[in-house]
Amino acid sequence: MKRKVNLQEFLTGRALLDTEIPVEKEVLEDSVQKGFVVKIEGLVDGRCMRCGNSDKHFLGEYPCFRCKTVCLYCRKCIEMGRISSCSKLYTWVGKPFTWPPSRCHWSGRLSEQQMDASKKIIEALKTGQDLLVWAVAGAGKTEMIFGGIEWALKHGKRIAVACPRTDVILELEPRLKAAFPETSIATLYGASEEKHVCAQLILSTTHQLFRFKNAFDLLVVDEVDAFPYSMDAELQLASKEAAKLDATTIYLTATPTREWQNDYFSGKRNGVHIPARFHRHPNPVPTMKWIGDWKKAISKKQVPASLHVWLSKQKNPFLLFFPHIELMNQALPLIQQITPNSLSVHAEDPDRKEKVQMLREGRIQGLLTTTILERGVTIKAVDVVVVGAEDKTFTEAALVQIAGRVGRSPDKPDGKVLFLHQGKTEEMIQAIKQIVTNNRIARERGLLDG
Amino acid sequence: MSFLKNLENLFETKVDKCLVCNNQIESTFGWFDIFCERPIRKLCLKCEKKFSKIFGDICRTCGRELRHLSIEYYQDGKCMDCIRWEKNNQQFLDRNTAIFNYNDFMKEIISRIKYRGDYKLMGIFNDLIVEKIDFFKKEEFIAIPIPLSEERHIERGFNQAEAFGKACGFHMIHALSRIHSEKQSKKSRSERLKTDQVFRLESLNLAGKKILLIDDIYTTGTTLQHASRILKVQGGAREVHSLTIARS
Ligand SMILES: [Zn+2]
Ligand SMILES: [Zn+2]
Ligand SMILES: [Zn+2]
Ligand SMILES: [Zn+2]
Repeated sequence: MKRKVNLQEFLTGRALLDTEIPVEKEVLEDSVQKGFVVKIEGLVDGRCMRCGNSDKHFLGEYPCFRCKTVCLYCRKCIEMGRISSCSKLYTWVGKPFTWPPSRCHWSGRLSEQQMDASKKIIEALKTGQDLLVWAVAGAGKTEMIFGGIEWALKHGKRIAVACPRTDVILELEPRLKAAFPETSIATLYGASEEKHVCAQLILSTTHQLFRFKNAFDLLVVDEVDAFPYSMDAELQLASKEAAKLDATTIYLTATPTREWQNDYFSGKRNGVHIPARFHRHPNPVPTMKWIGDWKKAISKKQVPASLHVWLSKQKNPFLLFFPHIELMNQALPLIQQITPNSLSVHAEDPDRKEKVQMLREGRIQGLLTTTILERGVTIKAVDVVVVGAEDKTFTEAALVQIAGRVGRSPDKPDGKVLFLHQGKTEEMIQAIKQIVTNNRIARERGLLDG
Repeated sequence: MSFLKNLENLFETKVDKCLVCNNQIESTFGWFDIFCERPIRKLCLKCEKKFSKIFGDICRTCGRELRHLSIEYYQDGKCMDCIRWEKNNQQFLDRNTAIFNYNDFMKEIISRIKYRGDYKLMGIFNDLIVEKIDFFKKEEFIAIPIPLSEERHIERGFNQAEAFGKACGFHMIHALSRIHSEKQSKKSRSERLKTDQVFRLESLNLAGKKILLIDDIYTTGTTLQHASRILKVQGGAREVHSLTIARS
């Protein structure tokens, strides 16, 4: 169904296929004639003009019935509607649409360090610089961006808050909508209904940024280190292209790469570091313990001794991280003999949310998990163990994130983090070093109580 | 001429990543690769295992596996659906050959090809289906793809039945075209078969010929029966067989 939309509002800062634009063909062509809209080729020289892909594996050809030639098409972004050599992307080049100014209605109070970060974000916006916001898990990073968003809204600017993970987007949505009730906000992710809605403030998975070109004055990238953003150069390119040339990008992360950490400390990268949690207690520091050949033990249906000892003393709720799903599934029945109230969870588990909720409510004591729960999950009084911390899935960032699950509640700000390993890795050592450094800096700055 | 050549080469792009899951395909080839040209692999073992090939006792007419059906649903090597076509004198298709069962994986693959339009993915079939199609090639069948309506064809850019035929290496003749759109009417399937004309026969003499219809899935068989009827009644074809990727 073609509904009535304002083309200027709909197409400002976007590059869309005709099938994505809800106006009659004649209306669209008329705007092209009048010079408000330009048509861009879908693919140029073997490169997709929407997602930037030029990898041969992600390109295909077909005998095209529409243009009667062999058409090249992009497989990389095909989920967003196939783009072929004979497709055109339409983009608005007339006077850009402007949204009425709106403001922030959040009435909470920022901590001293949140306030500092908020000021730095606004400063970065005013001077058109990029900024790294390195904030430990539990620092309250969402509230820190409210000030910057309000400043941008007041100046008629357009904003995108993007994150690689849909979970995070869904969690952010109600908080942003509550803080900015007058602002037009659209949430975009794979299955979202609002895909074709246009708004001033866009909340989006990094993937969906492909639909925008030269649109944003402020781009906030949350969890910049999280898969797949950190691994996919094309996604990074997409977020660059979605932003205006003079845009400010704010990179939010609890675990910047070692390179970014060094660049920050040496002053090469503009940044703000928030080393302490909102509740002013230190970040729990992991301990390391030898576990022996744990894979062999599990295959012989034994729980490795050090894990057995830990579990039989455990009173609090716990998360056990495993590097591989197969080993985790083999371990579950063995662990249930020690702590019967345990379940396991993995990425494709349809009951994922329900199981986490059960742990939160104390209906189960323990949850065995793959790295899927390394981020975003908060459970009061939880302790965590990483089984096989030497595995290559457990990078420095992953281990710091996992440790970040512990001690989140102000009523219970401490807890145990244990790395059970079959040989210490550089990643484990760096992770612990990062946490210790955060605590030291926090103490020096007077951000910790007691 | 170069257009035709291009078509032949369509499925020959060098790929070392799995077309389905995009993971690197672990090579099982040895040192002779250095001297011989390595065959191109399009599917990883993990994905290949997810296909369910049709085998064992099958319905003589529609090619579905019989062993999953309860005993009252087949008789003399034919399933009840096919027996019903016969009883109503609507059985024009001599035999369908389907390669795979329509499991969740197959459902995903077909929808990725058909609805998302990922033509290249059809290439995964050319290594998987060799044995069953050799017969049709030796017997000199005339291969005819089930056509799409003009409107749908423009929308998709290609016809998935034709793409499948091409992946099998058939030289196809476009002897049929659609009159109606594919949208299913509210009439029952026997009503539809009696009253509606779905296809038009393009002027071609098929008298006494053996035909192989090509389609993506055999679901109820209605489409293939329609096509078979016109090919036999109007075109004078002697036999009409069909080949589909899957039997649902
Ligand atoms: Zn693309
Ligand atoms: Zn084309
Ligand atoms: Zn695969
Ligand atoms: Zn049958």
